[in-house]
Amino acid sequence: MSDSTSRALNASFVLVVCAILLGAFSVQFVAGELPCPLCLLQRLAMLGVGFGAMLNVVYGSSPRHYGVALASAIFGGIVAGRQILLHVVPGSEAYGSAFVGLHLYTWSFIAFLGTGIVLSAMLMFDRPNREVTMAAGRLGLFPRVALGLLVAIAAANFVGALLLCGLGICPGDPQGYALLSWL
Amino acid sequence: MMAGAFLAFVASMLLAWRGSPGWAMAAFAMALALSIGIFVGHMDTSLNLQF
Repeated sequence: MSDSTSRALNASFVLVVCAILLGAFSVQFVAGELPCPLCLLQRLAMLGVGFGAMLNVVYGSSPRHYGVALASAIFGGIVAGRQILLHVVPGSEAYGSAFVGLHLYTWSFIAFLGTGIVLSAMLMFDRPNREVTMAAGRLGLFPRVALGLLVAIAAANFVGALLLCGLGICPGDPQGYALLSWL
Repeated sequence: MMAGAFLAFVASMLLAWRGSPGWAMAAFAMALALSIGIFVGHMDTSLNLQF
């Protein structure tokens, strides 16, 4: 795989991560369903996946960068799996509404599983690039837009988590924005 | 705690963008460690937290 193909694929991957995180935002702000702590942890894991792909775009592909993304995907899969198991217990209610027949944490589990498989395939076929180091400012427009969007979404998630949880432990079933109620 | 993990991720991405891969990886390690810590803390039933 050539360096430019690898960069384009990884930039596209970053955009897919952005689309997933924007979907989570739309559930929060359009549907009005506040995220639970496990939901926020899954967002963090998805940001980690995006960060690994971002490193591949900026510094060239490397097994180390794929390792960052894979470690995040494994962590996210464990968190999503844990949430599925919590809600399959008889008598326990599901968290949030279903989307196309499945709850968001189940979609999240599928997404992390798919991400792990795609990353493993890319790791098998992508050749490590030793030329390395390209400052983000010198990238093409498409990668710059993808990376800029990812950073903006990460920053928005930071603000959202701060408003929702404040500086303490996030409520298990949030009913409002903790920081706003303190002010 | 949760906001701190997100902040560490923002820092890691900005550091990667600005051309500091070593510091970016350090910030990522901190973000992942915080995330795992929060997850394990919440899983511990002695805290009696529900999701």
